[in-house]
Amino acid sequence: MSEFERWENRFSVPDYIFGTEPNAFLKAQADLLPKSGTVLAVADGEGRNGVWLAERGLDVLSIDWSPAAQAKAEALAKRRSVALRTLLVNVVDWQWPEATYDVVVAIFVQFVSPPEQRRMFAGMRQALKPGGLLLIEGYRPEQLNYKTGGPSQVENLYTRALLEAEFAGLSDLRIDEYASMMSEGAAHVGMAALIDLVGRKQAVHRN
Amino acid sequence: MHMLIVGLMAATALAGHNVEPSEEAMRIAFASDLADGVGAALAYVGETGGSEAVARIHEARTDAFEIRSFRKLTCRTSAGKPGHLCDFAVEIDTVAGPIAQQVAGRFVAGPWGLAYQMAED
Repeated sequence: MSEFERWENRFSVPDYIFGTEPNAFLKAQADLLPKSGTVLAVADGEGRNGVWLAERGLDVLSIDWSPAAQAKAEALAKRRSVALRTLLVNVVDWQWPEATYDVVVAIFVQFVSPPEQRRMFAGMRQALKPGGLLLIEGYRPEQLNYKTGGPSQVENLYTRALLEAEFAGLSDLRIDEYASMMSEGAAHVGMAALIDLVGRKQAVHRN
Repeated sequence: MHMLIVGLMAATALAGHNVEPSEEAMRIAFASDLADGVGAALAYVGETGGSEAVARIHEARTDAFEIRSFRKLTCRTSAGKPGHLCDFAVEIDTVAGPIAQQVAGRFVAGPWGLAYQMAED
């Protein structure tokens, strides 16, 4: 079974496997979000984060490669009476737009290999407008020892050194490593080894 | 006589393996697994980061949880696998906010009662 088929199968159940509530880290950054503007929600899956951002009055493009997930994202947006734009995209080979979004959000986008990850990070930097806000949350390699879910490929997980190297050009860069109780997906509840990144693209382009 | 009692206990235990778990037994098994998982994670943090790293977690209370509600939804057996694969809805209070999640997991009767295992992806 291909990776695409595996995700499509996971999303093809009636329930929202990652729930319908926004990610806790994203919710905690509410004060940093603009009152209006454009948001790119990367690999937004069933739309729990994209819809929450849309509920805050933001113009959200929710991208994902799974038609099943996007159908659920659209249904969730309809249920919550908000507009959510969706686009079927494979982040690995997408032509990322340039300086288009006020906010780029990537929550647990750790299914891509390191070379693909570098391209994706470059795309995310490129898509941000100068002064735009980047929000990333992912698992650290220690997560594999916690055995509470998440990707099994250690090379896909984020370290502080990786994020510092990839996003050195951002201003107001904040990277937090911590362990916390959380729930991600229908099977995963427990302590997780997390890393969060908050930063802004500088007015002078340093891609 | 002794052999008879042992045999009866074994038969009772075996019969229990096919009985669908009760909601209360599932809640206890899930809570116990969650607590074990937190304990194991803290032990790992302690091994790798020392007692200060563990103290930081305790101070931030990111390891704290309380199961506010637990509701059994469905249970089914699956061929070749032990116990029951069950869906349940759980609400857990954490410092980051409440977790309200529908979870799928396997519940298996063991010598020390019902045990919870995270479902395979």
